[in-house]
Amino acid sequence: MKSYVFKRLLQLIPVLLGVSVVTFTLIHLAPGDPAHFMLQKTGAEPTKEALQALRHEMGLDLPIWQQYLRWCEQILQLNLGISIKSGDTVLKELLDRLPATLELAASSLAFVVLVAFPLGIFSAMYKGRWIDQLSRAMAIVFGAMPRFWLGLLFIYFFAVKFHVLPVAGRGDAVHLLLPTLTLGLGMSANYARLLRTSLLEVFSQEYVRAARARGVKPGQLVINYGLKNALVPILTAFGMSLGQLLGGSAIIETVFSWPGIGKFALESIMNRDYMVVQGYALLMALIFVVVNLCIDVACMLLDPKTKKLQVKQAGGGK
Amino acid sequence: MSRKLWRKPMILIGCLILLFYMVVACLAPALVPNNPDEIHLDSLFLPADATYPLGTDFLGRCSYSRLIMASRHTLGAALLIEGIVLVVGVTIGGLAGYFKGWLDKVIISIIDILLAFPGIILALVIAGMLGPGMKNLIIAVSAVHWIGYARIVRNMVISVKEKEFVTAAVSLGSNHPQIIFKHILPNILPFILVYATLNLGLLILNIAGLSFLGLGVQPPTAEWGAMLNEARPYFRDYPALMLLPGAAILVIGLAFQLIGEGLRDILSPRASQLGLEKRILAELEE
Repeated sequence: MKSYVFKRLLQLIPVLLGVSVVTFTLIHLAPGDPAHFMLQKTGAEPTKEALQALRHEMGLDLPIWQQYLRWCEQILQLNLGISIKSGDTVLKELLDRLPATLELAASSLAFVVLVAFPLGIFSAMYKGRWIDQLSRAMAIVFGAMPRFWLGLLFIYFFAVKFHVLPVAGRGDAVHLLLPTLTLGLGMSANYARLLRTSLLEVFSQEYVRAARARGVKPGQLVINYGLKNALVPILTAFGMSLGQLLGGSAIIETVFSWPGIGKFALESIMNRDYMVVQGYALLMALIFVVVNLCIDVACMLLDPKTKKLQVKQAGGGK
Repeated sequence: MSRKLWRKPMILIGCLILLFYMVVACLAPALVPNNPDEIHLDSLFLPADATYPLGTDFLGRCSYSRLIMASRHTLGAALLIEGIVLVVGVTIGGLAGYFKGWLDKVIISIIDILLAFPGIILALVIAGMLGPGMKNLIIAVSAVHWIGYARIVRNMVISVKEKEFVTAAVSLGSNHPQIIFKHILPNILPFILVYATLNLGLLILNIAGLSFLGLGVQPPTAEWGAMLNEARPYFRDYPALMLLPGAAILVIGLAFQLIGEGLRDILSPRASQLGLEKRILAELEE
């Protein structure tokens, strides 16, 4: 077990190095001189001195490999640069907005668990009946639905037409409802299908059929055999959809004016506040990698057999 | 297999919807009654009438003409990106899986690094850094979507290469191109095509999403996501501006979902023969 965690941590080193290279490269994707653009956005045409000062501060006057090393050094000191728009450090700006995003992600996740588990379990228990068809239809429809459009529809029907819910913004629990539904509905249908599939797989095993023949009740079958087996695929899938929760929130936060990190990143893109965008990409990748590592370890604890296989086939991970 | 395909009503309906969209996109210039970009400030937010079949938008442009013309931009971009990532992904993944060794290790490391970023976020920041515009959107989305192809093709090539018929071909003296094009490619092609079809639906959602955020086509060009973005300040009073472009995306998305569900049922038995089923399905869930 310890050696497994150690191995995974070791595997993380080259990935994180690569992530740093990709993130560093991002700023060089910007057309022209990023410093010039950034100053332009703050007001009039920049003076030569101001431009040089900023280029120097950003290290743009150094050869590229020195820029990279300098940047890595700064990152290790948790210095992600300064936001041109506000003058605050990027790290502070991002961390200030992280709670709102996490709040939305957590409530969506709670919603997914509350909906997906009953829906998935009943779809498996009553295979082919109406509830199974319902979850299938939900997965198909929500898989095709652009989330931002779903959000706009919710706003229109619940807030504008029937005035039952607030339009946008962050406040009490009511404000959470529409963005949570928007993010969570599609995911819960997917998870329900996933749960159904792995439950059916378990139900077809001989030891489960034997248990059923012995007169074990269906509910007990689900709890004793089914869920235990379904946990690993569900957790793995969750690791993948965390990316959706974090990334999809950029769109949903914009639709609902939710003051989270995604909306902020988008505003920074529009303001050409490049350091913020860079910091955002780095922070999201870090969260994504760390959570997935934890999930891998958890899966390993739950089912040592499958994970050993996965370590062997490099690149087969998430 | 082809006869089985048509017996699935879901696939049939999906293909008919797709066909409809393709025809509309091809014939778009002949179908529109008005210039989709022409502004009429004296006729804003008109209801549907004889001149404007679906009314006008906040600049007095014909909503119907814009909706129809938009199909070209959304579908065109999706097909172009699909072509790019198909070529890039299959080549890279194929090389990695076929030759293994250091090449495989390098490619896998690059893929692992890129997968450390949530896909949507990577596309978002690349498009954002490059700046708004259709070309940049195509670059950004392609940069993310080739990864899935490369990974799945690599894994498929590895498992096919281990099969006896390939070993036999090698021992009979076939060279690399013969093995690749005669023995490996024909075996994995159906799965690549399935993946490509389903990926196309995902691409359309991604393109529309980025355009909705203002990163795709620039005004006045009509594109469904961009139209939704433009409609945001006004949809409370004029919901039709928001309903129609969204419905256009939803329906074509549904077509891909239906085809995907149908194909899944058909392909599962064959895929599991090659031990691939779970990997492909997992990849598609993403």
